[in-house]
Amino acid sequence: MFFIQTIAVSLGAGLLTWLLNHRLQRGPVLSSAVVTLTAGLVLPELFAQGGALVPMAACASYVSMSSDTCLSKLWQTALALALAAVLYVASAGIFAGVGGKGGTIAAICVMAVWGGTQIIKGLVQKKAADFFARLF
Amino acid sequence: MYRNSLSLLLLAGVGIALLGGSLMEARGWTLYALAAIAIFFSLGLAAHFVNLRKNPRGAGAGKCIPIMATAVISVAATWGLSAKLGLNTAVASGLVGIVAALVLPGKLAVVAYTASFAGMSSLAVLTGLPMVICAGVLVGGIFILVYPVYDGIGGKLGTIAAGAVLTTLLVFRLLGGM
Repeated sequence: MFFIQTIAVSLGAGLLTWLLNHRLQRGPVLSSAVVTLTAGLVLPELFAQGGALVPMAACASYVSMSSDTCLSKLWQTALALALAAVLYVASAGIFAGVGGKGGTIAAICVMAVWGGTQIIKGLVQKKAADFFARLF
Repeated sequence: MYRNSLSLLLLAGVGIALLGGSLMEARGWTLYALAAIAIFFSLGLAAHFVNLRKNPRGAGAGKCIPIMATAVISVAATWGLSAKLGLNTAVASGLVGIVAALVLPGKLAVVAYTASFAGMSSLAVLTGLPMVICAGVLVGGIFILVYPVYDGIGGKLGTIAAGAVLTTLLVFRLLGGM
């Protein structure tokens, strides 16, 4: 149940930050700061375990600070947010109390999605190039 | 290029430490998920390194003193709001980030927000003002060093902050040991 709440908070906070940053052009710092502040005030009131979900919301907002050159499609951002939720739960006992842990989780997941996309793009381009090379 | 490589190593090191620690404790489906994340993270680092070699970036972060001063003040402000006044750490960081975004020019606002992440550390980690100031100086220094690397990647600022806090812990542990 906690994991489902974690994924929901990750997607909600991340997509809200994405909206503020990329659609409303508020800039990554202001977008993330607004979502983080709001999560800190609202989540503890909404859920019994809301306090434990606030860092997840902050982490998700950091994912959505990524530029378009890195996560160009919305589905890539959503995938990175889902991975961030997994890593957030799995790393509960690591770097406890260290500021910046949420950002580190975000960077790992963004880099993983970006890296995977680059590999797949490279393979598809190579296959297409090989195909046309054999044709002609 | 050496600066870019060192910077990438620094930032990647923090991520690798977090992933490594998580993998050691993971069981069941989380172990497989983390292993997949680790593999793609490594591929992403490799691709980023190749990109940096093809297009080495030397863009400067800006003047040192304003960056250092902003970092120290932001860490102290966030730490003071959360550890001393009892505000939720996310609320403290959010407040500092909003004020910075509205008041400071672009790059300094980014520095301030980065430093606010370091200030989110608990009292058990940053136990007093000397450690807070050290963390602030390190945030500013690392920000200047790694400025061209991890460009556009969300979470870069938090990684810088985590690196600064971990380095602060190491420094004070060594000083305490001496």
